[in-house]
Amino acid sequence: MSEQTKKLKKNKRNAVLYKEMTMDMKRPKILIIALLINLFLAPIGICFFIGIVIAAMNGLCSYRVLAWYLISMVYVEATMLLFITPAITAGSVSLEKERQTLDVLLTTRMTPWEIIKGKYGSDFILLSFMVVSTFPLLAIVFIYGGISFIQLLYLGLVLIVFIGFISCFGIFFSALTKNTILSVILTYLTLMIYFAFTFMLPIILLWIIAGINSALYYDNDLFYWVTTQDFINGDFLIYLGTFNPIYMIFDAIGSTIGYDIEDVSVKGMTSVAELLPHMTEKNIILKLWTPISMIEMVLISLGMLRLSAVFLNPVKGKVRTVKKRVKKTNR
Amino acid sequence: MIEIKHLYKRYGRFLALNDFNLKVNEGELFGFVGSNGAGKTTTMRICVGLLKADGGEVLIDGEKMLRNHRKLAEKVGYVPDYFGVYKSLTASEYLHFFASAYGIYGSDADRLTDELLDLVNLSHKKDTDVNGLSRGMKQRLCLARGMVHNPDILFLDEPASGLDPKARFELKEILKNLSAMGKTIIISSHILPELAEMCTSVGIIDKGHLVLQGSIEEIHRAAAMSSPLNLVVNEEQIDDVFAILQSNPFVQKVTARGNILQIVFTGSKDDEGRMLASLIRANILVSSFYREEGSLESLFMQIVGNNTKEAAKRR
Repeated sequence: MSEQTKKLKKNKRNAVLYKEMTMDMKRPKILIIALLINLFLAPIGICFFIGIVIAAMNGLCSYRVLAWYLISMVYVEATMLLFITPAITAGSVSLEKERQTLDVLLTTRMTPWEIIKGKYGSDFILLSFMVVSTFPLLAIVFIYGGISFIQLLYLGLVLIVFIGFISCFGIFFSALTKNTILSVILTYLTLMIYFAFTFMLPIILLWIIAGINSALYYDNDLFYWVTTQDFINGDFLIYLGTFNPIYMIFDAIGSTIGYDIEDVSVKGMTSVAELLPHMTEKNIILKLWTPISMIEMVLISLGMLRLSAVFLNPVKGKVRTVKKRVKKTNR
Repeated sequence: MIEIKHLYKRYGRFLALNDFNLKVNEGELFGFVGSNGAGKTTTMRICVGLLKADGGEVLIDGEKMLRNHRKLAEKVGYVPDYFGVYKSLTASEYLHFFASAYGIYGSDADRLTDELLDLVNLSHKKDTDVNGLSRGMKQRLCLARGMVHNPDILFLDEPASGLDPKARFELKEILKNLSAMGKTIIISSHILPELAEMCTSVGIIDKGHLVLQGSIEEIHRAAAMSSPLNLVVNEEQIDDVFAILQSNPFVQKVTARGNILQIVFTGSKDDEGRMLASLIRANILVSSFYREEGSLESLFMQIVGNNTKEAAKRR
């Protein structure tokens, strides 16, 4: 055997990522999933397109119709990704355990963190490809204009952060459990709880504060929401919503396209300031809601991936000195 | 040289390794024998960094290894008792993948892959899907994978299990070649004769403890002493003989077939003589007294049996 292989070089590329991509390219999995997503989204696009053509013939077409097309497409796509992503990622590591290939991998020079990075990276690239494959359908809005390419890319970026965030739940449970089915179940369950909890928490807390205010200062309905500035300030609790991906997508769409329903215009989370007496539309956190939310999600993702690597490490923790204890028990 | 010092491992209440010590010199083909659950796989998994020891240390060339994953990964190669192969990769892609896991890429990886496939006689299967390889070929491919980073020490956990005689023979030949290349090979099995054919030294583990270690010549000498004693006596005196034999502390087991008694005896040659004298003193008509040719299997059974007896006494 070549002596030069004795002097091992530093790993330049992630072997697991490279291997996963090689295997993915051999399987029709990517194409089938991309096809299914687009087959699901395409009818919506066609319906809107036909609707717009008919409306235009009657002289009723407006820019807002296409805006609503894009809004509905982004929400439908996000919902689909929410269900597809755990199915793809929750088996990444656990399948290696089931195939008994993980042990062999762990005896190589690759660290558990490198393995997790490779697994996450390959799933993330695959899912990002799904998002990118739907861009032509989203780009139908350019027929009438009114939405810039940068705005469309921004929405794409939000969706990519969204899948990146959901993916790490799948990877985490995949590293934690030995069984893929269990990992998939735990991923969906945890995501459901996380989404519901972070969505409801600020609302419930604000309701409670409003209730206290109402009881203290008004002989009014307990859930009277809009209070004055003299009352207890609990408005900052809305910031807890930055941890929720639904609020993030809501704000991303609102701040780029905007939700216009007749005379009412909702511009993402800044519009929520109208309901909060201590906040104005100029509030910097409300204005930067989506970027803040994205940073938080990237940080949470990194934390979960790091934790996954810890679970994957077969020799985690310090070696205990149990010699005496063992001898004692034997006696 | 690999040295295992005072290794302990506990699974709940079960003590898998109990003050396990072992020393294997450079270039040795070491056979690691023990019955199922004796602690062979646990020892190997600790040595390759797949399991955390509860105590003790593994030294390679005098350097502590258990807390140094990268260094350990470079020094040792591991072939577990299962294949662990990716079915959608070809044999060549499989080795390329593991080469890149050690930072070997491009033309270096190509050359290495060809050399390894040649070493394990799989060059003709280079572009075949791993899934399409036979059991013996998969095992050889795994062996090549274990050698991808050219380790000094190679751990093989029951590599011959489930292989047909031809595949076993091929595997043995490859291992002998590797040994000739100066690799230290530690190979586990629960069949002592199988290891005796190819190993230069053997260690027997039982209940997490190394109970016997020596060169293959020493093991053969011990085996010669381990075969049962045959005693042919007058059939009417069988009961008396049983009574005398049972009072002898070196008699482990006695089985009778007609007037021929087979005795598993753990004592020395002198003890054998004393036992015969006691029979003659008791007026037993002994017409024949001889030891069968020794076998490694009987040696193994005797050692493991002894340990079981001692453990029962302690309880």
